[in-house]
This record gives sequence, C-alpha cells and structure tokens, in this order.
Amino acid sequence: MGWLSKLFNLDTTVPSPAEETRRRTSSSGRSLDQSSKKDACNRLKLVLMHDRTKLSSETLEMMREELVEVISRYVEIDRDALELNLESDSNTIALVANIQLARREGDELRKNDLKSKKQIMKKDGDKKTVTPATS
Amino acid sequence: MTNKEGRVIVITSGKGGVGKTTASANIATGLARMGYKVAMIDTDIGLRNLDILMGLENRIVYNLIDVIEGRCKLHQALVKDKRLPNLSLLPAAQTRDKSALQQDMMLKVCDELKQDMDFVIVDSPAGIEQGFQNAVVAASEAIVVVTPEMSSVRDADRIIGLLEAKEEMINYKLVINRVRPGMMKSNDMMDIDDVLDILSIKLLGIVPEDQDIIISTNKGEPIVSVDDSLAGQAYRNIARRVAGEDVPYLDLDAPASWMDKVKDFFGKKSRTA
Repeated sequence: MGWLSKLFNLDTTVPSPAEETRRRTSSSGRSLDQSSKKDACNRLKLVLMHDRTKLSSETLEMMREELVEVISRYVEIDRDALELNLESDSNTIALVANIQLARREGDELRKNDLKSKKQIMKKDGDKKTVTPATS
Repeated sequence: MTNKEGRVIVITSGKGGVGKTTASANIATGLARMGYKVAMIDTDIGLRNLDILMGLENRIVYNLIDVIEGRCKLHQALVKDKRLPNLSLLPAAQTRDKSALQQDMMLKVCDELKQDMDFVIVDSPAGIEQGFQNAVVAASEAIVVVTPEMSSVRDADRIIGLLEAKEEMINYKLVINRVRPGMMKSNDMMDIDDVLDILSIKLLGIVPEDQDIIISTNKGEPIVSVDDSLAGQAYRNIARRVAGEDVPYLDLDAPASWMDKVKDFFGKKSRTA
C-alpha cells in the first residue's frame, strides 16, 4: 500500500461499531473538541423540566412504583419495564409512561406496547407581555 | 420628569456573581446621563457593594436601615453621585443582617422615593429568600441578569417563576451578561437564542465580556460613562430601551471577535512574559 492509499484510507475509514462504542464509552482522556453548547442546552432543559414541575427523580420513581401497583391490578405487566419520563417540546411538558404488558403464552398480540401520554402541565408560551411602559 | 410617579425596577438574578450590581450601577447611571432623576437602592444588607461600584463608599453617612428605623430622614441618607446631580444612592447597611429589612418598610421607602424620581433602581441580593422578596416587593418591573452558563440560567428560571407569580409585576426582561461572541460562534457557549428559548422571556440587552469593566470598577466609575467601550455602549443602549426607546442590538460579532483575538494575544503574551 502506497502512502497515497494510506492517506486515503485514513481519511475515509469509517470506525467499526465496536470501535465507535469504545470511543464513546472511554471516559478518560477525552478531548473537549466537540461543541459543548448542545450538552449544556440538553442538560439544562432536563434540569429545568424537573425544576418547573417540581418533580425530582425520586418522586418520579415513587410515582412509577405506584403506577405499577395500580395497573397490575387490572393487567399483568412487566414490572421493571415500566418507564416514566418527563418530555418536553417547545412550551409543553409531558409526563410520558411506557408500559409493557407481560407476554402470555398463546397470545396472538405480539406488539403489546401500551403507550399512554398524559399532559400534566402546560407552560404558557406568551407570558405577560413586556413592553417598556413610557414615562 | 413631571409630577408622575417614578418607575421602580428591580435588578435580580438568583445566582450571585453574574453582574447584578454592575448592571444596577450602569443602568441607573445610563438613565441619569439621559437626564432622568434616578435613585438606586442597595438591598444587599450586610454585603453592600453598589457604593463601591459607584465610587461613593466614602460619602455614606446613613443607610437604608437607618431610614427604616427612624434615625434619619430619607433625603439625609441619599448619597449624591460625584458627577451626576440627578443620581443618588440609598446604601445598604453593612453591619446588620438581612432580617433588619422588612417588606412593608421597603414598600414605604420606595413609595416615598418614587414621588421625586423618574426611576428607582433596586439592586437585589443573590438568592430567592427574604432578601429577594424585600427587593422585589415595591417593583412593578424587573430586569433579570443572566450569564450564558447553565447554573445562571437555571437560577434565572426560578426567579422568573417567582416574578411571574407576582401580580404587581407588569414587565420583566432579560439582560445577558458576559457574552463571548467568539465562543458562541464556535458553539462552545450557549448563544442568545438558546438562552431566550430556554427561559422564554423577552430580551432587554446583551453585554459583552469586557476587561474594561474590571478597570471601571477599580476606579468606581460605571463603564456606561466610558465612550469607547463596547460594554459601555451596551449599557447605554439598555438604558435607552428601559426609557422606552427602540434601539437595535449591538453587533458583537465583527468588532468583538477581532478584539478578542487581540486581547487574547496580549493576554497570553503577558502571562508568559
């Protein structure tokens, strides 16, 4: 292999999935070259969702456990698979539960995801208008 | 300017060290430079600093708590600015703690003060407790100061929530301080739109990071009075917007990134030297 193809190889090699994972999971010696702004925005949005709804991770976990109790009374579910998360898009914050039903033998229903979305809070987009009052 | 009551505006942020007091000094001075009668109130009892930024620390005789506890009249406690006769400061007490100030007393002082003033600028302490409540009680407008950092934006969100809940609050806007256009351009810092989007609040102004602010603080002269300073220009614009003028936002991009480079260059040189 000549230097040219070497160079060519270097430029175009796509890292194998394994390599990719290794690179992403190795926490030591990471450089700060990626733009950190996205990280800040995403982390901040998550923190603010918890702040604004006054729902901590612990509260969410308590709710999750209670939801498991209630739903289990009516239908058999996979207790560990129930996910409860906060999601937001623009001005709305939603509490999203993803509840997986336990698979019964001979059950024809294969895709038995029951998704329930519950809006718990609406953040009003236009707050009080803020035009400077003229004196 | 007429017999109309003045506007009481609180400068607040939640997080400490983001530039509340600097903003208070500069907005108040900016408005006074435009000819308005302006009074500043430092409500950071026990940790007063607005006097230092204004260069008035040696002229204080009485303070806010003296007024409240009846040891002097309001006009006796007001410290006149060195340069602008229409600007004055009601200093905080340095030897007391924040429990000395109560909301109803603060309301009384502000009510009296706004009879003679066009603007009363209230510098709030950091935090969301009693000190903050005292500072906002008399205000119908607020300026929230934030830096483009996660911790500052998070705390500002709490403050905005509290301001929203306050019925008398008719108007609150955001000042984004310590903006570094270079870092924003390279996506290493949240930009103006990110911050406004996350906080969903209207923008009052953008102030670039400027070493001259440190120098102006050392001298006790607010940077708004320094003609060739970019941060000074930003504060002059903010003051005009507060007064109701429509002023376009500064284009920080071109001059600042160039200036940053020069400053970085010299900064690095002097460090290695």
